[in-house]
Amino acid sequence: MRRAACFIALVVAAQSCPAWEFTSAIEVSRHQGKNTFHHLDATGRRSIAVNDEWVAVSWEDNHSGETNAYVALKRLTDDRFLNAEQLNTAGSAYTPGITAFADGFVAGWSDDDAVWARFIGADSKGSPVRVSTSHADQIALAPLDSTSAIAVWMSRENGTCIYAARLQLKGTALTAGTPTPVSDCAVQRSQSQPAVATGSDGTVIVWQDRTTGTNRVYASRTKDAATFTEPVQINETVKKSATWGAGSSAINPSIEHGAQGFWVSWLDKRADRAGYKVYSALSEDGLSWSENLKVQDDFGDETPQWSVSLAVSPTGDGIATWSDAREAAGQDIYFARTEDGDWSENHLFEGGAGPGDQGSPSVAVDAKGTLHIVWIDKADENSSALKYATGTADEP
Amino acid sequence: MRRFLALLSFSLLLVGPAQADPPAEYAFQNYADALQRASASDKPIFLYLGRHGCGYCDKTNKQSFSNGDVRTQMNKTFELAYVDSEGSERLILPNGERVTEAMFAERLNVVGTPVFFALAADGTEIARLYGFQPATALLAFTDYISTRHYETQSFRDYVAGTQSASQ
Repeated sequence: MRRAACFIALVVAAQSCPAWEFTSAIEVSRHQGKNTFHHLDATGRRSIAVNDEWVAVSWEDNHSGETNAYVALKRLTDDRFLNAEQLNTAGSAYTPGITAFADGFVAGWSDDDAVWARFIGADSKGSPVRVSTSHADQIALAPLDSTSAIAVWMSRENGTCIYAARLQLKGTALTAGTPTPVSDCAVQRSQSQPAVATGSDGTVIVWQDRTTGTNRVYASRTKDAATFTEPVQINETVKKSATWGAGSSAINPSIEHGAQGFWVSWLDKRADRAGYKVYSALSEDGLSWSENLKVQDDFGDETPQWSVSLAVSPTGDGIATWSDAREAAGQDIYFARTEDGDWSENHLFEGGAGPGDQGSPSVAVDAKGTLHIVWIDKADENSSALKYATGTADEP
Repeated sequence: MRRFLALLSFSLLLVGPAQADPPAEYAFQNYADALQRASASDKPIFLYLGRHGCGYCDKTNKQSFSNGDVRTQMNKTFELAYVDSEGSERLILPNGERVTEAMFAERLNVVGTPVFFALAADGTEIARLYGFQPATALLAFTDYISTRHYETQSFRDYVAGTQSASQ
């Protein structure tokens, strides 16, 4: 069963099943004892980023006795990560995310009150800057140009609402601009889980909102990080009962931009008792979106998928990873990629499969098309480690 | 899973208010408060794991939780807790791990909603019910827990026994 999806595809159409070659896994952060837990749960699931020279991973763990956010860097040509450094300088920190920016990276995280960001260079790091002016959580980041980036987050004033602000970089110092709501907070009062990506035609922000009764995924585009287009719903809400409920939900959107436009993926409850399924949509301009495309194949239809993360190949194809337990032996990590606009059969990532649970994958693709993946390896309920590998696929 | 819930139970802390839509006129509270109250009252906990927009939750709310007998018996018998399976409020587990409500639902392998759990006052799982439940099932479940029949038989066997006894 493990290779059934790919095997069947080989029989039917051999050329449609590209071979994935992965390196052996290395540790980003090792098991650190009982009751020490790693989390890769950045909003938009962007916990790994890569530039021409470095790969960076951000995560949260409690090994110090306090929940903190960390970052570790590795030169692409090296075979081990440098020592982890703590992102937050005070209190607890949650859900860090990271993206490539300027000649380094920008990382964001939440504490018990606000969202923060910090420039991460290979040689030096900037000081943390508070981005939100009110109670906030769930920060996501994307570059705008070589000296500015956009931060989006969930504000907790009067319900929950997505805000955005420009971050300006000078040296290694970030300055946060004035926060602006992405949409009318009186109309959508229960927004959360923002994600953001920049393309040649502007920056697109996606989020979920359940003001209408069930969570739906929306998108808005900005060209100046200050004014935003009216939200457009991306997911198709499936309502099986005319009497009960508000229909299927869609949660945890991820977004990436590439040569074909903006890809968005999310977890979708339209299959009801089969749990969350992975769906996606594509937009050339961030304003009009394709029909919803199912990502997992038939072998994954009967089991729930979790933690979908998205990357885009240099040719603009979407690459989605997630975990599911279709083999009934704990969570394993699977992949799919788009080929001529459709999602491929699913590939088991062997390094992220086996005894225990392997989950929470986060992926990024470098300029050469190499896939970088980080995930959580849980051998048992009481501890975890962060692992990393790279992979390449034959072009279909 | 029973072990996991037991582990979860003792000092689970819910940070911030729960965003959820449990039925009205019930004393539903967040999980941490329910555990705290249960340790004082020694009542079992009825945990409702739901989702905004969920059709079977809506149906159970309107057709079953609206029943006066159900309302009276459940409010009297249980400490009532509600968790939004898509929520982003944080739960801090007794082992120090922090999870969101959504991650908590994933750990409990909640695939469809609603799922109703009966927990002992220390949080150990006693029994669970999946999906829509008619008022008669909720009343039977309440009896099953309050009379401690779960110590000797499954809920389904209990229901079958009470049905055959009444015929």
